[in-house]
Amino acid sequence: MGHSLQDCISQLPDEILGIVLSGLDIKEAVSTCILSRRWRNLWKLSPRFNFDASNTMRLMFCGHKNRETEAPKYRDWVNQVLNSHEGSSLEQLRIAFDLGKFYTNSIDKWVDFAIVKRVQKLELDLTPAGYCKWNNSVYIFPSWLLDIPLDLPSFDRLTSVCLKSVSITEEDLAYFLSTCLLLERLSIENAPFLQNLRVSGQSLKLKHLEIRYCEKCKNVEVSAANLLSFKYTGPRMKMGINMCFVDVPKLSSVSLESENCEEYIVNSPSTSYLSRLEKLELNLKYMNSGRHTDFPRIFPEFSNLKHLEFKFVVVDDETILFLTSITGASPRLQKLKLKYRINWAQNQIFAWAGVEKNKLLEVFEKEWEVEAGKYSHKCLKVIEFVGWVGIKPDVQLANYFLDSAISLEKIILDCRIPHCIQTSWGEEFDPNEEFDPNEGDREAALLSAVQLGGKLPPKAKLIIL
Amino acid sequence: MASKGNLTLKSCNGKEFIVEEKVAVMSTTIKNMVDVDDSFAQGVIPIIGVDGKILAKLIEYCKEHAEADEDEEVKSEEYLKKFDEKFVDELNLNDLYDLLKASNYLEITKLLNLLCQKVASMIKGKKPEEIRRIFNIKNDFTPEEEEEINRQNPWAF
Repeated sequence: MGHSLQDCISQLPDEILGIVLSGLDIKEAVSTCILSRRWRNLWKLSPRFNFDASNTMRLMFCGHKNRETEAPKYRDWVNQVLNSHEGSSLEQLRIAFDLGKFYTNSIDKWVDFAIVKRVQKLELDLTPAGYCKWNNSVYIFPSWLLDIPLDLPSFDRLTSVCLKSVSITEEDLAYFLSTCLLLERLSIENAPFLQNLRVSGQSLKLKHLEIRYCEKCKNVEVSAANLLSFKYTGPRMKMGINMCFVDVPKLSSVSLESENCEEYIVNSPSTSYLSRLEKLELNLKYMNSGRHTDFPRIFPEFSNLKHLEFKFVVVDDETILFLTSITGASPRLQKLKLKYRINWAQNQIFAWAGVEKNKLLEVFEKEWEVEAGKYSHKCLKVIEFVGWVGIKPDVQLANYFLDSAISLEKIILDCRIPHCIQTSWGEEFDPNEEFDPNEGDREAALLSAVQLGGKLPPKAKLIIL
Repeated sequence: MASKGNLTLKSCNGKEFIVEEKVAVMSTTIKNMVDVDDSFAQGVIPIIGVDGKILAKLIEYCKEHAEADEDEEVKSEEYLKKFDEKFVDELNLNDLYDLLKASNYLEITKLLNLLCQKVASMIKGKKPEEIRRIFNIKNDFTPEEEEEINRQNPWAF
């Protein structure tokens, strides 16, 4: 061989270089056209187009850039790139910008492009750079484009669909589910008028289903033989959303993010699937004092649950022992993770109002201590606290598990504070940057973490981060 | 001849490798050969255009990933990520090209994507002149052509 001084890369076949270029962002991929004649048009063969503009979106969110000038630029950019595309098919098309109904003509063209190129992964994320108002300016998915004659290209290769802030009807979703026979992933966010979602069908390959912030959604019916994971994020689940899981033999991972999602679990009409779950993630959002009093004491048994994760915001001087009513109902639990932030302001507000809240809460806390004392956690091996502060809520719970988890092998106390960001839906844990650069009182957290180490069972390891 | 459940792969320079079937069928091309024609499963599968050194590398990669696919408890995602990183870091440019071609021909999609990602990371954030130097790309544009491309290339958001 010994071809080190030759231009070997340019001799690679088009399809390989196309994949290479799809690993770059579009701007960089396009600018490779200047390298040499061989590279002049290569970027046009890239099978993946991710029109990411998250930096501009962030600047728009905080008012440093304005939508009226940026949106037309984004539209022109997508149009120019797609018009130049020369590949016969497309693996991925991702559109992500604050575009509403006003841009219908262009977006329709992009959807049509996705159909003609028989795209495999389609993401249309038109989330506003600001708070979502669920109004009538949301882009409406072009149903008319789905009326495709049999001999023309269609969505037949689609494996993944993600629609955000796109108004889509029950019928259109039924189209995707019934005609896209390779569809494995479906994710719907802010479909403002969607009321019912029925996921069923004998040939359904669907493995992952996600529903986020569909305000009007009242009924979700799922009967999917291959479904592995389900995620729901939304307004208070108490407000009357019916979720019915009928035939979901493979469903092993569920994530619920909503105030009162624990009540949903207890009151849901079909609970038999819960006993098969292996992974459960609950984002309990903000836990105010009411949570103490209302938190369900008895859960259906999670007989196969191995991984459990809680996310929440808690007041600095309150107990979270009530979470043990879920761990206690999970006899095979191996790994428990808590990711949380502390709300420090609450105490002062009560002090200012001259109310002694503690008296009342103490009564409930005593009751929870009794309840928690009934559970054993024989299989629990790993516990992770992310956002460890070393005050009442976390110290109390950690001490409890040091006593009750007899097989404990590892306890991780991560003193970094989870990072939160403002999104169109309010404050959320940041999916991209895990930790807050502002450290809080790290020394105090570390000190309490070290102290806890003294109480460790002999076989267990303490990891402080 | 390979025992049951094993396949023999033969490189273009005559080196033979006996590998488990589950490792070999990480390659869609080999999987199709074995599925269609039973005699391949018994005899020797010639891997055209891939020499022994590259074939050994391919097998090393497929072994790790086939075992991980089978039992994710044994090999965590984290472990595989580290393995992948080390795997591509140790490659020189020539091996990288040869592996790219081989994984494309043998349709080992995961590996092909990993290697393409590696090349992309070598391009990322660099000026054209630097990219040309790294890969020995000869700029064969005339200055006039170059100027024109720069002029008509506003396709950045």
